[in-house]
Amino acid sequence: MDASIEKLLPLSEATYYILLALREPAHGYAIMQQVEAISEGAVKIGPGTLYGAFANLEKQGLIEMVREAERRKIYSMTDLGRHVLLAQLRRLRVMVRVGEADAPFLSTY
Amino acid sequence: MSEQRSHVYKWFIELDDGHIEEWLRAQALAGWHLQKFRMPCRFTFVRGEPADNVYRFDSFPAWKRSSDYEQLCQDAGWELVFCWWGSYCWRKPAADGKPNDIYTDTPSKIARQQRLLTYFGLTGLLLMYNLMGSSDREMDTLRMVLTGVQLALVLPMSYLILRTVGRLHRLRREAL
Repeated sequence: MDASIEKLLPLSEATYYILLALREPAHGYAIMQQVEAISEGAVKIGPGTLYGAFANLEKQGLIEMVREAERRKIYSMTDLGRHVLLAQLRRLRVMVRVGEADAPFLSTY
Repeated sequence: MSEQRSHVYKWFIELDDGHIEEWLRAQALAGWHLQKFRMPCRFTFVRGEPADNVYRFDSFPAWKRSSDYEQLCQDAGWELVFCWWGSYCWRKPAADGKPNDIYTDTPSKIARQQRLLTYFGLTGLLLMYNLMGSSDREMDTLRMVLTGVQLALVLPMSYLILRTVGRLHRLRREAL
């Protein structure tokens, strides 16, 4: 795997969902709502957390501001962002596969 | 009919320990809603219907006040009560279904405490630098007063730094 992608992993839970929510360009509040919807209510992101995440993700080149509408910045995921998200998904798949195969005792719980 | 107001003088050393936020929520439940705050310790309340409102404080270096941050908070249901020198006070109904915290995960809480620590640390260093420099100078009345004020600030500033370091340790343990 590309070293520049590897060093950005693992994504935090909030970052993972923010990137997932950015499959289409969106502003902050739409992302907050989207994250809550796709995580089935399990993850709610506060505005301070999202503001800091935007700053980090933009600095890392995973998202970019594409335009402004009604004083709100609209962000989009970059190609690097898509590659990082994909790499995170691969990691998660391996973790789930290994967990299910090597820890069958968990099924008794 | 004129608004019924109340001024309360309340000493506190930090906004970040949750006590002030809980106190403001209790005031709102009793029908007293924070209208403004004046340094160092004057809270002005206005009488209204009792409401379960949560209050949250947040701080940025004054030069980093951001309209994007303010817009995000307002979109998320927070009403800006006041902003003073980079310190924000936000309020929203507790039961509106939206998160009752501005920071909702451990990494962002850690980043916030690091920001506060940098801010307190730089202020502390400036204070120490001034105090050490003043020992070499001749003392007139004004300089004595200024030195006295700076000396009085050393303990609270040390307390704030230690509290912030403690919170950072706790959050980092939680993140493991």
